[in-house]
Amino acid sequence: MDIVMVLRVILLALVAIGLAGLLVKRNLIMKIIAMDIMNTGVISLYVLAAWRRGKAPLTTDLSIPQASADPVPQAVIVTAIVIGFSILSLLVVYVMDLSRYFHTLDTERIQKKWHR
Amino acid sequence: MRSFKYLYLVLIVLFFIFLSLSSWGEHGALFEAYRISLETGIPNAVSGIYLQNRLYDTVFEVTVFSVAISGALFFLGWRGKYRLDKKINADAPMIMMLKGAAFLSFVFGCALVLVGHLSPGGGFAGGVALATSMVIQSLLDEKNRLTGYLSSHDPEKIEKSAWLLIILISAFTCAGSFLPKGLYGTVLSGGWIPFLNVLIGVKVGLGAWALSMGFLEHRWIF
Repeated sequence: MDIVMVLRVILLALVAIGLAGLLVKRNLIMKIIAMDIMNTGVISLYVLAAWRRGKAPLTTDLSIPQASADPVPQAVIVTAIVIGFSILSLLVVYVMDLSRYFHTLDTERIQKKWHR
Repeated sequence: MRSFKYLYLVLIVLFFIFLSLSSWGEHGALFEAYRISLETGIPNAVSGIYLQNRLYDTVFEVTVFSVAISGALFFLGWRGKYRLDKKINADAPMIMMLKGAAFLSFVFGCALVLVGHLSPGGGFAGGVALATSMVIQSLLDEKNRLTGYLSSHDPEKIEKSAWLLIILISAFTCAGSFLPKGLYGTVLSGGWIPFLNVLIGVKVGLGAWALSMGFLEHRWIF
C-alpha cells in the first residue's frame, strides 16, 4: 500500500464529508463551513498530485537538470486559495444580511418566509 | 426535502468509492521546474508560472479578489473608516507581545514579497502577512506610524492604482515586451516578475486589511 494512495483516500474522504455537509445540513453557516472543508480537501489533492518525494520546485543552479515537484498544480492552487478566502468572506457577509432580514439561518424556514 | 437526504448520502458514498478506485495516473514531467526556470530566469518555478506563463489567470484572479472584497464591504455597509472605536483592553505585557508579533509579521511579509521569486513565497502570501500585521496594529490603542499614514492617504486609491498597474504590466508581458532577465538569483532578475510580486503584495495586503476593518467595525461582531 502506497503512502500516496492512503493520503489520497483520506483527502477524498474530506471532500466527500464537505459535500455531504453542503447538501444535508440546514444551517447556512454550517453549509459555508462544509464548503470550506471541501475547498481545503481539493487544494490538498492538488498539492498531493504535485508531490515528488519532498523536492521543492526551486532550481538553485542551472548547470544540471534536477528532478523536483511539478510546479503547475501548485501555481494553479496559489490563486485558488486567495479566491477561496475572498468568496468565503462574501458568503459570510451575505448570510449576515439574510439573517438580519429573516431572523433565522435555517434554509427551509427562509424558503417558507420567502414564498409568503 | 427530507426524503432526498439518504439519496444524497448514497450518491456521495458512490462518488467517493468511484474516485478512490479510479486511476490517478503516474507522475510525468519530472524536469518541469528546471525547464520553467530556464525559460523565466528565476529559481522559483511556481512564481514563474503564475506571473509569466499563466498571467491571464492571475490577472483575472486579482480582479475577482478586488470585486469580492468590494461586494463584501458594500453589504457590510462600511463607510471607509480605518480607525476602530473599540480597542483591545489588555495589560502591558500582552500589548508588548502583540506589538512584537505585528513587527515580526511585517518584516516577514516584506521579505516574502521582495524575495518571493527566489525562495518560497510571493505576492499573495506576503500580502496576507502584511495585512495580519496591520490588523494587529489597528487593534492596539496606540498611535502607529504605518496605519496612521496609510489611513490618511486613502488606501482604496492605492489598492485600485496597484490593480491598474498590474493590468498594465500584464499587458506588456502578454504583448511580448520583457525586461532583460538579469543575473540569475538576484533580487532584480526575471524581468517584470519582482514588480508584479510587489504590486500583488500591496494589493492583497490593503484589500485584506480593508476587509478585516469592515468586519471589525461592524456592530454585530466586535
